[in-house]
Amino acid sequence: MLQLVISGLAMGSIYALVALGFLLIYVAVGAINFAQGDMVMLGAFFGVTFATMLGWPLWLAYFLSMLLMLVFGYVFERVAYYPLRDKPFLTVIISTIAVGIILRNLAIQDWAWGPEEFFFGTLVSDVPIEVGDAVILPQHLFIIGITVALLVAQYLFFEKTFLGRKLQATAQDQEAARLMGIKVERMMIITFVMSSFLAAIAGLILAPVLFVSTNMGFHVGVKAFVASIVGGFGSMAGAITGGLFLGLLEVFGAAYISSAYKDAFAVLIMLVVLFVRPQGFFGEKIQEKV
Amino acid sequence: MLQCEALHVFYGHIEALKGVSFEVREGEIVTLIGANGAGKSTILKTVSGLLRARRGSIAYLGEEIQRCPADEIVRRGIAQAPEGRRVFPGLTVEENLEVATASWRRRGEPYQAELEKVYHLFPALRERRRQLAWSLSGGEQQMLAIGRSLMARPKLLLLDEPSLGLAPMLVQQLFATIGEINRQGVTILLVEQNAFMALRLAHRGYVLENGVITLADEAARLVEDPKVKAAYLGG
Repeated sequence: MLQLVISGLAMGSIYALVALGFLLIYVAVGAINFAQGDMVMLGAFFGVTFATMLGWPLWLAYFLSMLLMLVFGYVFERVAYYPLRDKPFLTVIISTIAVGIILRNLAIQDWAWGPEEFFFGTLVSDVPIEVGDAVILPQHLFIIGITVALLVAQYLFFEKTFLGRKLQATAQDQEAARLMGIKVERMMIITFVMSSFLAAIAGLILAPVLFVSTNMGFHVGVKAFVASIVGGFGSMAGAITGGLFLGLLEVFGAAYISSAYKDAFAVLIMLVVLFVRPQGFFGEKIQEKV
Repeated sequence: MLQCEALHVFYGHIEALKGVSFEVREGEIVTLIGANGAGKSTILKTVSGLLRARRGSIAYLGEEIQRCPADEIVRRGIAQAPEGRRVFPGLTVEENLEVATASWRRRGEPYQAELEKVYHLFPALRERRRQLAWSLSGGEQQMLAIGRSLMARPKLLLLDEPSLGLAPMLVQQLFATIGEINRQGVTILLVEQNAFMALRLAHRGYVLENGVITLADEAARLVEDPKVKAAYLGG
């Protein structure tokens, strides 16, 4: 039981992190970044390259991978969003879908990482801890801990710093932010870089639990998207509860019903929520933008 | 202080401003009056750099600012309180005010003096400083919108329809405060549909019709102008 709760919360934490990445960009530009999951994959593959392939120390692999993903976030904004910033949000969404497809297809090439699955080591111990009759993976606790730390850091950043408040202002009313002398372009870059950074961390802490493959990001992205909808799109509380709820649901569903239907639970619960409470646990009703 | 020459501004194929020229001198209150859709807000948006004129020039303190991005224009001393208030709904009153110091303030630099000035002009804002902006009344939101634009340390303040949707009593108070802001040394360009109030407050005025300036004069003379009376002052 404890074992299931911990591993459910760990998976849920990953979904919550990716859902937060969705949220950052959604709030700022009004479009969903469907490449968010593939950015998780990219972060994990950078880690694999440095640690598993080149054999460099794990901490260095973490550091370099995060650094590269910061650069990626910048390039992503310049190439996939900035030229389209005055276009309808649907155009931006399609652009992010394209980036996702391109990333997946580049990653699977033989000169890149190819179709194999890769091992990625853990920063903590890989010896399971026994508590009573439960067996707990230290990596699961690590995932939960890192996620909590990131959430707290992000909260403090947005609420307590000048830059955080400028970002909030920009998200709430871009034109008014411009009139107040806020450099809106710079705020957009920061938003994309932050969500790319979240994806990098999600990829790196998830990698030791799964094997790293070109499709891992896509799966995580779909789950996180479901989590966003279940929790309520557009709210931070929704992203977190939706993620944790989905993680627990999957693990318990797999344990007590059937592991073959693990992925089906997510879609099923999304359908139920869409019928019963389309705004999600915490969300406001989504209205078509004029 | 501000000279606009022959501004032509388009929305797609529609020409919203058809060669508008006007000037604002240092220390003045100048008002632009005109019906809905005459192009008043378009002028302010163009001066603030949100829209680009296809032809014409905008000189501020002798320098061309047409190509400047919006944040640079604020940094040079032109702030705007836009139509519809546009306060940041999810930030508190004080956070709204803080954010508007973005053009001049480095991180950690104090802004207490500016804050005190705004609270002095609008005491109601001090009482509500920890409240989220969406929860304010319309009048308070308008105070916040003007107060916020003052936090940018403007030399020239653009006000877009500050009286919109406010009760007559509040409009009286608000216009008195706008006069006070002007006496403290801020030049003001005021766009209004409430022509009577605006002309009573302003030094000079321009009448805008369908993207063209049709009259320009001392405010006191415009109030007496039979055409203005008929069209904007209810006979």
